[in-house]
Amino acid sequence: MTSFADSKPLSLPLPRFRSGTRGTFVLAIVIAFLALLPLGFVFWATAVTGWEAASQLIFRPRVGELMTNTLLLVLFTVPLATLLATALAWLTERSDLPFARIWSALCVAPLAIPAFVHSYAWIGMWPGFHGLPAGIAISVTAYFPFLYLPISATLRLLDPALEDQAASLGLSDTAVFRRVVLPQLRLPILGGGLLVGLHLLAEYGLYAMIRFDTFTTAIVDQFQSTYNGVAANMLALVLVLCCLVLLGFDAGLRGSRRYARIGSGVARRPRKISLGRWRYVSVLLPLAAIAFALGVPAITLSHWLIAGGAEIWRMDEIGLALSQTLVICVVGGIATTLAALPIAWLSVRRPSRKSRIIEGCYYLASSMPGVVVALALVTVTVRVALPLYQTVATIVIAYVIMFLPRALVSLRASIAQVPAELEQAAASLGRSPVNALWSTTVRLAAPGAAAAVALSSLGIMNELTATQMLAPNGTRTLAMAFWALTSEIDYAGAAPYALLMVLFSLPMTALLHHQSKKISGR
Amino acid sequence: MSFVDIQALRKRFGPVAALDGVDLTVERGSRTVVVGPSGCGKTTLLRLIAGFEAPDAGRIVIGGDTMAEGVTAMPAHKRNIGIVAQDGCLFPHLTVAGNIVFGMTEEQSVRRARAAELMEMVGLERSMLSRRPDELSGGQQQRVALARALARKPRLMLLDEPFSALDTGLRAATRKAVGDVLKAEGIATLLVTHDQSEALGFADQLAVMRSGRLVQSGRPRDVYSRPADPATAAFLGEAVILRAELKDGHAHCVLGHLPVSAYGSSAGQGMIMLRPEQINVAEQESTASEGAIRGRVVETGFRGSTCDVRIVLRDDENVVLNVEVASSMDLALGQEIYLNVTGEAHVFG
Repeated sequence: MTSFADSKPLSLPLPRFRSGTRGTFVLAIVIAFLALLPLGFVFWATAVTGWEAASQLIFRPRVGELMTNTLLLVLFTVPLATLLATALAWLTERSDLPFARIWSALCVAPLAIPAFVHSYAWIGMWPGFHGLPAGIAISVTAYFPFLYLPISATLRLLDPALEDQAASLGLSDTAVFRRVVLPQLRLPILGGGLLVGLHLLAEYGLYAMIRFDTFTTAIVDQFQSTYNGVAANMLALVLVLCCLVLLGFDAGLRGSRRYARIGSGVARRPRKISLGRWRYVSVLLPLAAIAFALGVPAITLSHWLIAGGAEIWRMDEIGLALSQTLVICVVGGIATTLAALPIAWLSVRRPSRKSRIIEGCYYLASSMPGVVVALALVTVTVRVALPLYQTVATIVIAYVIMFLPRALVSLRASIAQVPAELEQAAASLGRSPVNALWSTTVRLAAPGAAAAVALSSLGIMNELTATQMLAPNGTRTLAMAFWALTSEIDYAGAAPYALLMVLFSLPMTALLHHQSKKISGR
Repeated sequence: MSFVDIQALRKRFGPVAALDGVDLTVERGSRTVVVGPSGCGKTTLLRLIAGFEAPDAGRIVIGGDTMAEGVTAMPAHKRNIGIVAQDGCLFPHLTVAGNIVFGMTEEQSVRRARAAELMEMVGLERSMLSRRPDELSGGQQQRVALARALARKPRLMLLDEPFSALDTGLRAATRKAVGDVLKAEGIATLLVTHDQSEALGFADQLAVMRSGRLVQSGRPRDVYSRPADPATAAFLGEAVILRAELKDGHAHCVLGHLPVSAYGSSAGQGMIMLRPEQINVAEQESTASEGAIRGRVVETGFRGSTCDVRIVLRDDENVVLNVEVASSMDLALGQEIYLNVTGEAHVFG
């Protein structure tokens, strides 16, 4: 018979279970407040201005004009980019298009070219091209990969059995596409469309170059002329409201439904539809898209590089810009990844309503245009923390706010791959909680963290708007130098900077392409 | 001419011949089950009949209409053949009602009434019409899939292992429900499965496939008791296969002199098959019939109402028999027992 009478009482107090969780939560919430600063600033600025002054600044013809421009830009670009991306994704994934693999890689490659380099390339080719038509055309070519990536990944994952089933119920091929395939592409189309829409609202360089006024270009102009004026703040309010409308629109259409594949087991590989005599004619579509999205930048860049000769390679200036850019990128990338770490860990290991809300805050914050983030940080540092004004710390905070979700996605995926049982096994072998975490999850998630640093760094490299407004005096990143030179119409001098930005962005683009392939396991 | 008439059907995937000349007929309103191990080509056969793939050679004629001849095939959406897949394959973006009326072209009110009627037919509550597929259990999903396929009044129903994803208890109930509905509607049905007990229980006609060929077809009872070859015999259930000398309509083997069935009553050396239920086990010589063979129990496995017993013959310990006895007969390891054979032995041709 067993007795517990002679067992020793527990001499140590039991450690509070999940004691680390609370501290991590507090950290995540502090970062969330920081991230929501720009949004808070805009509403605070409106309140301070007062309704009368605010309405005078908002309801005037100039704002109406900007609103029309922005609205037309979004209303034309998003549907056109969706059509193009869906057609390209279907051709490369589901038809017997010749060289489909190569076209698929080329359709992602335009992401390696910063948006303002796209418009630099277009006006190098057609100097008279500007206004709304130019805005729409360049935006579609620069941003359609944001839609192509998720749509093509989803097409690869769709269960072809559903399409067979629909055919057995009497639907022709076109009806099957309309009633079965298209509804399942809803989520990637909405997600990609939202991303494109937010970029259209936030982009400065692309539209400034072709003299097309949007809210963002107007705010930057206002900021540069009057610096921290009420007018700029009110434009920012309208811009933020536009973003919120876009987010609300997306959330409303998306609904709460997920289209999970119900069956079990591995799906049969999708059947490739034979294009028949259209097979070679169909190549014209990807050919045209790539000609504009990659050909035009390639031709313009090489034209200027050849025309400029050795003279444009002022190595001292380029070297300085490159080293400054790399420092800012690495510092910003590491800071962003560290800021994403608490919520990444919480959302994988302690998923709850609270952690989902915090995560939502980060996404909301990062969808604020760079110009609004910069405006907020300028005002806050000038009014509250002047020593921080135009310091590396401030600009790093801006990057954290803008690029945190990029780091979060990578980090979360890599933490999720490490089974929690490993941490428990380490604990059962006598490691303390922190030590157990360090020797298992941190070690194994390190590649994901490196990817997180890389993804956010490369976002920072091509960032122009906030960097221009916040960078410490004397800073000249590649993007800033490129912008300054094109503003002086020194297109040849700007070419080496554009080339460097493209070269540094290529690895990120390759990574994205690879990830989308890996997700679908093919 | 039969309702479904398949002749010399061939289909290759690269170097693999999935179907290597299959002939099969299905009678109007009957139930045919194609059974075979994984990779035998039964799913390919189904996909060719449904029109999801085109054959390399051969003919498929259904109700007098040619569906496929050589490499030319009628597309799936023009065939009006219903199919219920292994996992139901419901459209995840539509409700149950949306799924059921998916293939119907009638006007809205007719469709709605038909959906309600079909729900009743497959034994589901009408209130489920507004649910999403992921809110249904596996068995319910299969019933909705059946209702969806029935909605178009198909001329032929294909069932692609539709019960194999279900729990054992649910499987039998769902199978019976599906079978009853199809019988009531008088729709010819072709079921493919790798589960031999399901095949034997469901079929009017059983067709056994192996390596892309149809090995045998006929009434389930006939195929079970008179299989074409030892592999088919073993696939359909436990079989005792013995070497025997055939003479005067009898087989002389280690289990004595057994009468043989009319088929293949040739003389000379041959292989015979008995099903375990033909072998009776007695504990005492007095209760056994005349001419009983002596054996010894070497292994027992308790299964509830029955017991699996492994027996070796006393005269030849190399002969091992697996039989099933009522568990009320409590046999011990090493116990001596007496064996009698009833019925006829089947001789492989």
